[in-house]
Amino acid sequence: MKIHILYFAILFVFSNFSVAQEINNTSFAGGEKLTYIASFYMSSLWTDLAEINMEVSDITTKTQELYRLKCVASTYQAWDSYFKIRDLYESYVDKKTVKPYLFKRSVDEGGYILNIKYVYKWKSQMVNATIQKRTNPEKVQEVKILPNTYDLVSVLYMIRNIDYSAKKPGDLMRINVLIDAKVEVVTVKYRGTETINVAGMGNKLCYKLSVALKDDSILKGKDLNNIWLTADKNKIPALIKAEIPVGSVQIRLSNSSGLRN
Amino acid sequence: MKTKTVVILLSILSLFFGIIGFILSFLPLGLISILPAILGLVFWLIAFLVNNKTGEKRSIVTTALIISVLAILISTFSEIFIKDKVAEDQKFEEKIEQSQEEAIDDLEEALEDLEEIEE
Repeated sequence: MKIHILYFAILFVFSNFSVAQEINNTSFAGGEKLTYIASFYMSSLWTDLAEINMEVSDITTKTQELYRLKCVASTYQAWDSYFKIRDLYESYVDKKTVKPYLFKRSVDEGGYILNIKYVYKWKSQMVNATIQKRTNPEKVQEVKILPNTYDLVSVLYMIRNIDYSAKKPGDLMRINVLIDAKVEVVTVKYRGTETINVAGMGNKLCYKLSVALKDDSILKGKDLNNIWLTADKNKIPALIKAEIPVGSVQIRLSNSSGLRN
Repeated sequence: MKTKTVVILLSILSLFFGIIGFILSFLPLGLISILPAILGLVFWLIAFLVNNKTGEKRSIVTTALIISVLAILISTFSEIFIKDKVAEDQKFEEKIEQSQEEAIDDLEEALEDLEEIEE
């Protein structure tokens, strides 16, 4: 059973955000660290399976300063003997617009190895995608993208910069996300606000969003996959619940530090 | 059906669930492993009550009780005292560092393309 925890978690959150306006990042900055606990639903109970760490750091190249958005998923020690997961997702993005320049995904789940790299060529609106599964040779291909195409990590940070206060429950947003070297359209529905209990923050008012993909093979049902973002300036993902073909996954915030606001 | 047969059947059921609970209690399943053990305990209780009427002692009933109780104790102990933590993985840490170093070259390529747009 390939759980692909982080993949589903991020994936369920997105992909063709027809955002008319340019994103202006005011929600996160270098030094932000978020820790999550990923649980799987079994026999009417949630079982904690893995820890997910999301970190923002500054990166300097010859010409620009960027953010490195790093997501690491690791199974708890007790699970390592049965199904060890060591996943690394990275996105290198513009500090102001969260526009991605490079995305890397390195998956090691119970011996299943997958390495993906997207190098964005915004001039030609193409992505150079390099994919390697298991010990197979690398496959390199060019993928045509749209002006606002994100990857699995940058999209998570991008949606933190949307102004939800101006939205009404039921409003839809479409996001282009590059998933497995294909541009997929994910529909995000704003479902209003809800107060939930967040570790270290107590009862917190959150924006509730539901996410749907055209293809049901990854995420099941309508309005079954939800994300709660704190209804403050940081808009931290506080809780994620997703229905996947092999069950239900829940990812809840357990710790946060270095917040921008 | 004779009382003896009922007691043995219930004890077998209790043993069955108790053993499953016992095995699961060694897996990192949290409180899930306690469920079959509780079921084992329920079957033991019925077997015990039925058997009491006969006034005979049956070792299978006692064994079923011990297995279920052990499973519950181990599961509870693990849940309370063994905290979830991620193992230190030096190899993975090095891989993360290396990934960032390698990214710089790819970024230069992507940013060169961007500069051409801006020009």
